[in-house]
Amino acid sequence: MKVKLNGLKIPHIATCLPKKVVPMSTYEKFFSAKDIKRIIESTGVESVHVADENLCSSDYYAETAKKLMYEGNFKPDDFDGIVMVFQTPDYNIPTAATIMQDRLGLPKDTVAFEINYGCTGYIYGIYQASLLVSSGSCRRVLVFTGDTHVRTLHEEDRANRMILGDGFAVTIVERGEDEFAFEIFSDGSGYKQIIIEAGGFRMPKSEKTSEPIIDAEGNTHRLEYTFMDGMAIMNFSLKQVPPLIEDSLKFVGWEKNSVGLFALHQANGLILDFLRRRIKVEPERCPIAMKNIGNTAGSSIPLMLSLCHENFSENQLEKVLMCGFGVGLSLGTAAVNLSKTKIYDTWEF
Amino acid sequence: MDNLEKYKNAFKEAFEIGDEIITDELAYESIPEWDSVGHMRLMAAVEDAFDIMLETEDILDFGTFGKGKEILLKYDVTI
Repeated sequence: MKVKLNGLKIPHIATCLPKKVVPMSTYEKFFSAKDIKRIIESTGVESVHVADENLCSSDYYAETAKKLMYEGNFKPDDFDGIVMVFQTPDYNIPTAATIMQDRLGLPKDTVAFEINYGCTGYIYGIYQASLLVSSGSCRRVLVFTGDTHVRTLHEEDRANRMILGDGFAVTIVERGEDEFAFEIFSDGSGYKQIIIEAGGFRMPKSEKTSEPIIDAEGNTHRLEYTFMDGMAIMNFSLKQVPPLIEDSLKFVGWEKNSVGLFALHQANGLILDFLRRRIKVEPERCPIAMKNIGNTAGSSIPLMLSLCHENFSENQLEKVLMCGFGVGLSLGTAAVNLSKTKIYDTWEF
Repeated sequence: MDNLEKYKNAFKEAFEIGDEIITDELAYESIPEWDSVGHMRLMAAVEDAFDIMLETEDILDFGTFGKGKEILLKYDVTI
């Protein structure tokens, strides 16, 4: 799917991180010091933020949205859309999006729904909000992204524990003069490559699903926790992302040299470096900002923007190509103008 | 430094292992260090050592020390 949508603007991007910081050295009780050093050098992640166990993703969303509304001088009536893209909902039923409408005091004619996506979530969120605005359905939409992912990881899951962190973002999409271009792909044949297998209706949680499973290669799988096949995801990313970026540039009509920023999903330092070399752009236009936050899935792109925005000139942000890739499997790009966007420093709650 | 030495050094650098472990049979997941993270480190080290950019298919196929030698022939690197 590729489409250009008109009459849009992203006026504000706000992000937040939980106060609790977990340095990788914490995991010395589970992994060897050599392993920890090797993984830190490879992923570029030295610590991550972890959500308070009593709080949900939506609690961080609400605090961020309230502060954003205060900082941006918005009233609840200024919004009529909520797009919530995450994988750690408050309940199976109902959606946290309607609860958020009430919590923020938004009008009752607000459109509010959840979308289940992780690493590609930011692209889906901006795309869906842009559809709502460009179609005339909404004037101004709040896009919520990010997850309390760490609690979905088993304590002995070395690979994921040392890369995934919790982080959240609230982005506003409203009527404006910009044209955004989107390109999205899905490949469900790889759905098992990032999965929490038990806990849905296909495989309800049971005594059996709580037991670890040892596969033919001796790897331990835990059905009630996030499983990620690192090699498969790396292969998917290296194979699919560079051609998608080239195709998206053609579709939007941008020369690669004219693009100010390639804002890629912050998967891990090694993958990003491999991708950057393959799309042939210099590090300054394809930043990595993971050292103290890790991979924050659907909020990794806005968090990178929050952490690095002072390095970017207004001119540089006129042509931003965002790219998300991962769970689903899925990938997508959004070509947007952020030159007039107020990007806030990251807040902590 | 000849190509074999460069190639072995890429493995030693990526996995922080000694010469004695490095044989043609050394394979992905045969040692704890050659996991998915280790594989990416190895691919980066090999690319740097020979100033090449591996095709994605070759990164997938690069399953053993011996297989890697065959793959590198495609890039005019003889070991």
